[in-house]
Amino acid sequence: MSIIEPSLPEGFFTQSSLFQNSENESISSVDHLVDTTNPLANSKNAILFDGSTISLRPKKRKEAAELDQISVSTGESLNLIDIDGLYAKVELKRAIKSSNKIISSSASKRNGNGEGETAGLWTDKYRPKTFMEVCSAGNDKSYRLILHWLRKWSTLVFKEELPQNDNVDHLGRPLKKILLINGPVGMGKTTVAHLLATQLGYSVQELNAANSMDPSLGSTHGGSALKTKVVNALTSNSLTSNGKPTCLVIDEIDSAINSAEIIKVLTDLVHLDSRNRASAISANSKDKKKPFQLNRPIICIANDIYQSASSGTNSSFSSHYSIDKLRPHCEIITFRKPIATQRGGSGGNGLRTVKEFLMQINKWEKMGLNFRDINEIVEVCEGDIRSCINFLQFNSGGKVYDAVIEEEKSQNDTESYVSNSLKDTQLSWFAIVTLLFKRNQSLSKDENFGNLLNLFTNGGGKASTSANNVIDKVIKGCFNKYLDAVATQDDSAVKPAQLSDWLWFYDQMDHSGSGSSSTLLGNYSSAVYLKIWSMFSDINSARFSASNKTLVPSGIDFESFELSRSNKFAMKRIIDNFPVQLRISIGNGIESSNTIPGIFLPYLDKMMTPIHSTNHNSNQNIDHEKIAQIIKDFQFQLENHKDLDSGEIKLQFSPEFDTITNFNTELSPQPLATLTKLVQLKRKWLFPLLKLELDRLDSLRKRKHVTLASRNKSEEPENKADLKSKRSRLTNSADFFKARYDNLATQTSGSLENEKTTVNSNNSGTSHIWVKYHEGFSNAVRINVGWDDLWLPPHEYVE
Amino acid sequence: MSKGPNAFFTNLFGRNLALSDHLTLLLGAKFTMSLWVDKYRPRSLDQLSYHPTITQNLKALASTGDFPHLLVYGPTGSGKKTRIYATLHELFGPGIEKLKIDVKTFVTSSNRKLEFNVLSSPYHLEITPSDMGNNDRVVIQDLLKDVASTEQVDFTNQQQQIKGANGSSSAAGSKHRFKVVIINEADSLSRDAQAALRRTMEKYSSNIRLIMISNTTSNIIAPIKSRTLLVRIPAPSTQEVSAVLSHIAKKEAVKFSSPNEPEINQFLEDIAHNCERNLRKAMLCFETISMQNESISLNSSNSIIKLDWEVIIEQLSKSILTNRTVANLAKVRVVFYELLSHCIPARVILKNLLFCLVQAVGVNKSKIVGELVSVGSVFDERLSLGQKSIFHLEGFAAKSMVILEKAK
Repeated sequence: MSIIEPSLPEGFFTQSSLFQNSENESISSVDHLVDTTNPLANSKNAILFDGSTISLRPKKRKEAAELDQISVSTGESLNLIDIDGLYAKVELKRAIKSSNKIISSSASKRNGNGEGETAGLWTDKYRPKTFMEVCSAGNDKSYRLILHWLRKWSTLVFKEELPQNDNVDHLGRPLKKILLINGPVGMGKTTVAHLLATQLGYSVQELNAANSMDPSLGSTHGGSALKTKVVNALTSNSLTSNGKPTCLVIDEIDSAINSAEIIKVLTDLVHLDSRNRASAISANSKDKKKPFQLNRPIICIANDIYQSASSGTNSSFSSHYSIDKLRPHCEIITFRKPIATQRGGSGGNGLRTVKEFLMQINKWEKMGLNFRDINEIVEVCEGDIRSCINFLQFNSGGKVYDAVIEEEKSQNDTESYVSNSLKDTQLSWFAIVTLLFKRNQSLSKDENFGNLLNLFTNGGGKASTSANNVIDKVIKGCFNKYLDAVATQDDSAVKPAQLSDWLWFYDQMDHSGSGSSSTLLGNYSSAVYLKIWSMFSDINSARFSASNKTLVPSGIDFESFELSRSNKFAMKRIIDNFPVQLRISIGNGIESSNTIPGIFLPYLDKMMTPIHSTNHNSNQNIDHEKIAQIIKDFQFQLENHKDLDSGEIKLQFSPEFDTITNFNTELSPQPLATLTKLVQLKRKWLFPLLKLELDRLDSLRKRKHVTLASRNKSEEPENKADLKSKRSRLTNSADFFKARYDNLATQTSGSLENEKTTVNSNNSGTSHIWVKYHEGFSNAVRINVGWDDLWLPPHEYVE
Repeated sequence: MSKGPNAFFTNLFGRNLALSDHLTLLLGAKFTMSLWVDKYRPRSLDQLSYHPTITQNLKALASTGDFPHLLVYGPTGSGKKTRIYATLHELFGPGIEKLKIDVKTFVTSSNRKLEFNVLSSPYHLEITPSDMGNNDRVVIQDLLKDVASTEQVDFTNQQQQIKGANGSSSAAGSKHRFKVVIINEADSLSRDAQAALRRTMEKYSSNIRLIMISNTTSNIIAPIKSRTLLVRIPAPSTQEVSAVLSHIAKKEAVKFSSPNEPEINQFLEDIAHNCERNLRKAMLCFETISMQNESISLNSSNSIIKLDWEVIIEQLSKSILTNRTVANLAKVRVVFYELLSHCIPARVILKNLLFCLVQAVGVNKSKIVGELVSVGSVFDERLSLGQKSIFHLEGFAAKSMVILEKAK
C-alpha cells in the first residue's frame, strides 16, 4: 500500500485514549462527522465537546494493535468486560479507519490511480482488522476458546499473572500444546487465528502449503530443515517482529504437500517437550544447557481432521504421520457453518450475523440489495462467508443473480430465464431449485413444461444435468424443500410416496453414472427435475419459499453427515483398543453391521454408567470393580473435561462414545438434557471409586509383574505424564505401605472403627512421618475420601 | 448410609484377595476377559451347547484333517464364528488362540493407499472386506496370492512337521499344510471380488482354505456357492438361549429376587425373545441387567433393558401410524437423520420400523400387513443397492403412510 502518510500530531494518541474513557458522545459525533465529510478533503477536523478542534490523521495499524493490547493487558478481558468501554474503543477505531480510508483514497487519487477503493478484492478489503469486527457466524464460542487457549500462554510468554489458572502445567502452559482449528472453508479460521494472536501481542509466523516446502532441499532433507525452521520460529524473535514473541500458525496442515513431515516434526517436538519436562522434574537438574521446551503457542489450521492420509507420495510415511497422530496432542476447536441447526439455537443466530455483516458491506458499497437478496446469496454460498463476499462483488451484477431478482419482479419469468441463461453458461443450483418450484400462471402447463425442457436440454440448465455434484446439490435442495411445498398444497403423503420412486431412479442413475458412461446417463437426471416440477411447482411459490421457517431444519443433512463421521471415527478408536479375543466375540466391522454401534456400545454404556439401576440409594452395590476391569481391558481413560462455555465440568470416558449412544430426538425415551444430567450425577459418584480401583489394579500389577508394569507405564498418555512423574517419588514407599495397609484392612475388617493410623515416609526415606487421618466420609465435599485422594493433587476430582 | 464407608472398605478388601487370585489365573492364561460374551465363549467343539447335529458334523469334518471351503451363514449372534474357531481349535490345537493384529497397507492402482486390519494366528488369518471399500477385489487377490506363496516356506509349519516326523506329540495340525483365510461379511464383497475369488479358490486350493461368513447367501454368486460347503447356523431357540444364560447365572452367582426356577427361566426366555434370539445381544443384555441390579427382580417388566434407538423406532412407528401428515413426515425425517448419524445402519432402521409397524397395526390385518411388507422389501432392496439412504427411508415412511391412509 503506498499511502502518503501525513505526519502525525504528537498528542493524537493520548487524545484518542482520552475519548475512550470519558467522552463517548463526542466520539460518535466524530464518527458522524467523518461519515459525512467530503472524501476529497485532505485532512479532517473533529470538533470536540469543549469546542476545540483537532485534526485527525490516523496511523492505522499500529495504533489499533496497541489499543487492543491495552484492552487485553489490563487483564479484565476474560472476567469482567466493560462492554461500554469496549464499544467506545471500537467506535473510535472505526472512526480512525474510515478517515484513513478516505485519506488513502484521496492519496491514491493524487497518485493517479483513478480506481481508488474499488480496486482489490472485497474479501481482503473487508477482512476483519480487529476482533470486534469479526462476524460471529455462530462461532463465538470457538473464538472464545481460541482466545482462552492463547491467553494461557501469557503466563509463560509475557510473565503475566492470570486470574484463573486451571488446566495448566507447571510452567503455566495449557496442557495441550498445540491448537488445531478445523472447519469448512471460508469460515474465517485463518483470519481469526491471525487476529487473536496479533491482539494478544504475538507476531505471527505463518507456515502454509506454499511456503512450508523449500524446493531447494530434497524430500529427504525436508524433515530436518523443516524442523529447524519450526524450532527457529518458536525460539527466536525474527527481525521483523519488533521484539514481539512469535506465534506459529501452520495453515492448511491437511493439504500441504509435506503435511506428513510437518506433523512428524510437531509430534516430535511435543514428545521432546514432555520428555524434557518429566526429566526436569525428576532429576531437578540444573544443567547449563536448557533442555528444549515449547515456549510459544502453535496453531494448526485444517479443513478436515478426519482425513486419512491418502494423497501423499511416499505412502507408508505419510500414512504413519497423518493427522490422527497429531490429534491427541491438540486442543481441537471446530468451526461450524452458520446454518440453522437442530441442536443449539446458536446456528440461526450465526446465520443472522452473517447476513448483517453482508448487509453492512452492501451498505458501504451502496449496492442497494435488500435483506432477502442477501438471504439468497447466503443460501447459494452455503454459508461460506468468503464466497458470499466474492459473490457480492462479482456476481451481484451478473446474470444469475439478476435472473433471480428480475424473475421475482417480472411476470414473464420463464422466458426471461431461458433467454438470460442462454447467454449465461451455467445456472446456479440454487436458481434451479427455485425454478423447479415455480409455475408461470400466464402460460399453460404444456408451455411451461416445454420451456423447462428446453432449458435443461439445450439452455443454461444443461451443464447442471451433467455435472454430478450439481445434480446432487439440486436434488438435495429439492429434497429439503419439497415437504414445505406439499404442506401448502394438499398435505398428504401421496406425492412424497411418488417422489420416492423418482429419487430411487436418480439414485440408480447416480450410482451407475460414476462409471464411464456418466454423461450419457446423466442426461436422464433432468427427467427427475421435470418430475419434481410437475409435481410440486406452484404458481404462488413465495407462499412457502418466503417464510424462513421450514419444516425440516436446513443444514440437517450436513450436520448429520458430520456427526456420523465423527462417530465412526470414535468407534474406530474404541475398536482399535479392543482386546484381540474380543474381536472374535464382537466382530470388528463397523461399516455394514449393526453389532457395535447398535448393540455393543449401548450396552457397554449402560454397564459403565448404570443410571437406570434400581438401587439408586444404595450406590455401593454397583460392581465398580468390574467396571474398572472393563475400563482397563478397553483402555479407556477417565477424563474430566471442562466445558469452557458453560464452565461445567463433564466427566467422561475417553475415547468418548456418549455421542453414539445418546440420542437427541423428541421421540427418545428421555430428553438429552435430563439424560446427561443423570449420567453426570452418577459419574461424579462413580469416578473417584473407579480411580481408586484402577490405581489399585495398577499397583497390584506392579508388584507382581514389574517388567510388565514398566511397559504399561510408557503407554500412559501424555497428559497424565506430569501427574505420574510427580507421584513417582512416592510410588515405591506408597506401594509398600499400601500393601501393609491392605493387610491391616483385612485384619480389622470386622471392626467398625473409622479412624486408622498408617504410615508414610517422606522423600528422604529415612525418617518416617506418621499420618493420622480420618478416612471415610467427609461432609464437606460429600464424596468418599480414600487413601489416594489425600495424596493426589487437589484438582483431580474435587471441585 | 449408616453402615456407610467402613462397610464399603471392608467389602472392597474382602473381595480383594479373591479378585487378585482371579487375576493371576487370568494373566496366566494370557487373557483378560471382562465381558461375559468373551468369558463364556466356547473355545472347543465339546463346549458348544446347542445345535448338536451341526457340532457333530463339524467334528467329523475336523477329524478328517482336511476340509473344503466353507460358507457359514446365519443370523447375527447365532454363533457362526464361535463354531468356526472351535473347529479350527480342533484342527490346529490351541495355537489358533495366539491371535495378533497386523495392519496391512496396500497401494491401489490409482496410487491411493489402503489400510486394513488383519487378525491372524500362525494357522489362519481373518479379514473384513468392508474395511477395503471398493478395492476389495485387488486386495483379496493380492492377499490370497501372498498367503498362498509364502505358505511353502513357512518355518513354524516345517518345524512342526519335523517334530511330527520324529514322533513327538506336538500340536495337532502338523499335517495340515494349508492356511485358513476367514472372510467376514462375505455378503458385502463386491461382485468383482466374488468373481475374482472363483478362480483363486481352485488355483490355490492346495494351500488355502477359505471360510466365508455371511448373514445371508443371497448376495453371493452361484459359482462360489457351488465351490463351498454351505453350513447354516440358525439362531438358537429362546429355550437354548435361556439355557446358556442360566448356565452363566449359576457360574456368576447372579442373584434373582425369587429363587423360583420356572420364573427365572421365564425371565431369561423373555430376554432371549427381546433380543431376537441373538445370543450375543442376550448375553450383553443379561450382563448389563445384572450389573445394574444387585438382585434382578423377576416381576417388574422394566428390568429388561431396551436400547434407546429401539425405543425411538418404536415411537416412530406409532407416530407414523397416528399422524399421517406432511408435517409429521418432516419430523420423521429429522429422526431418521438422527439415527443415521449415530451409525445405525439404514437397513436395520427399515427392518425394525417395519416390524414395529406390523406389530402396531396388528398381525391379523393381513391385507395391510402384506402391503407394508411388500413396500418394505422394495425399499430394502433400494437401500442395499442405492447410496442415498435418507431418500429411501423417507420414501418408505411416505408409502406406508399412504397405505395406512387408504386402509382407514
